[in-house]
Amino acid sequence: MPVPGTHPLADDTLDRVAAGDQDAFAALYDAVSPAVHGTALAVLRDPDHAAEVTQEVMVEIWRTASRYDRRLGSPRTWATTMAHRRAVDRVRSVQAQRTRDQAALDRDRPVDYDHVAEQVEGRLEAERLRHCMDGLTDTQRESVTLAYYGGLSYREVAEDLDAALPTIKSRIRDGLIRLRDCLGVTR
Amino acid sequence: MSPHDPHDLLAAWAIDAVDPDERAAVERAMAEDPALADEAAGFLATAAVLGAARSVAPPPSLRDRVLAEIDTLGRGPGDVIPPAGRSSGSRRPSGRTDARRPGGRTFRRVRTVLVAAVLAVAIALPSVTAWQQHQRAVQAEARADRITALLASPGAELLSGDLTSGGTATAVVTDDAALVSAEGVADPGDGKVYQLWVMRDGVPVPDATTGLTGDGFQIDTTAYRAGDGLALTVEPAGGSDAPTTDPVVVLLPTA
Repeated sequence: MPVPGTHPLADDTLDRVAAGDQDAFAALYDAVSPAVHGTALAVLRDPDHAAEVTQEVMVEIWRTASRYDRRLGSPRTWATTMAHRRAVDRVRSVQAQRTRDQAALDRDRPVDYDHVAEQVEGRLEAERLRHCMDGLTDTQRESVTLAYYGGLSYREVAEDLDAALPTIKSRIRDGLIRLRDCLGVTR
Repeated sequence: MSPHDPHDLLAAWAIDAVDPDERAAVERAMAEDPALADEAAGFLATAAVLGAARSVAPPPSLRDRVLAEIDTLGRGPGDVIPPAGRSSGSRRPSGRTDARRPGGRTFRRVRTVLVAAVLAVAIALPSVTAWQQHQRAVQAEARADRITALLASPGAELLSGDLTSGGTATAVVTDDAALVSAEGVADPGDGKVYQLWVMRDGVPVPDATTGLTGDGFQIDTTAYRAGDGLALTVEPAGGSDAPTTDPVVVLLPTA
């Protein structure tokens, strides 16, 4: 599903990458690596760790391009999903304590959507996202932010906010549904 | 509300906010419920915007490192399912493919290679795709079971080769039948099918056509006779009387 404001990418890019076309891969790298790196950096907050995740994800895309199915999402969604999962796995395995400390800081600080994105496409996206984030309740926004950017599980979010598990699950679910509808993401 | 209700956990799963056992439970549920997988894809696309909104170009040196790494890797093992026999290099259109008499080792190897290659990819990928990979693995396993069964026939021979368009073809041939299986192959395209040809005295005899099941297919033929070759081409739906395209793979028995 194409998202307005994203880097244009030829429809057959992934097919060409799957066939071993390194020029097509370079074009794909240029299109998706800022989103991959930005995602990893947002979660890990460490440029070296983020660069490692970016490298892992881009090489994984090369290895598995023939398995990409456009019906299941854009190449960027695919790449960003991989980046987030790897970043979160890294946070949980290596940096659990640091993240909890960071989450405590995040909770007391409004998330700044204005200064986080360096890329033009990211700025457009950040603008749309800020608008849509405004449509969430404060508690939904808090739970989604702690989970996505803080790398916390919903259990950790619940613990952190001293809230019941079903409450946090609902906040995350309702928050993502509102975001999905506001962003116009369709399936 | 069950703590493991997959539907209940889907949004949290999409932003990686679940524990490993919950992740596995959600992904198993998605494998059995396309509607759930579809909803998950919407959540994943939403989550991707959260990440993309933070886009930051990686260091320029990283681009060089990644391009160098993929150049070294070439087309890696995660991408193309390795042939069942020894590497056969059958990208040459008429290249003779490696073939072996079936033995216990070969059997197990075919099955292991086919199923493991598909599963390995499933594990490496994010989960919506994993759902589809799981389905493909199940289908590949069913095809592998039939190969194993036919290999038990007296005189059975195993042939394999890579398709020029990607993927691997495996054929078990006996004195009077052949079972042709393919894994990891490309969709032939709208209005197109794969067609099997029995190559007899150098003449292609038209046989069955098929679309894809998952990312593979399987064709049985009783038109095969000992000594015949086999070929696959992409043809218009309904098949052709004579090949209209170059074969994507040719499988020849050992003399």
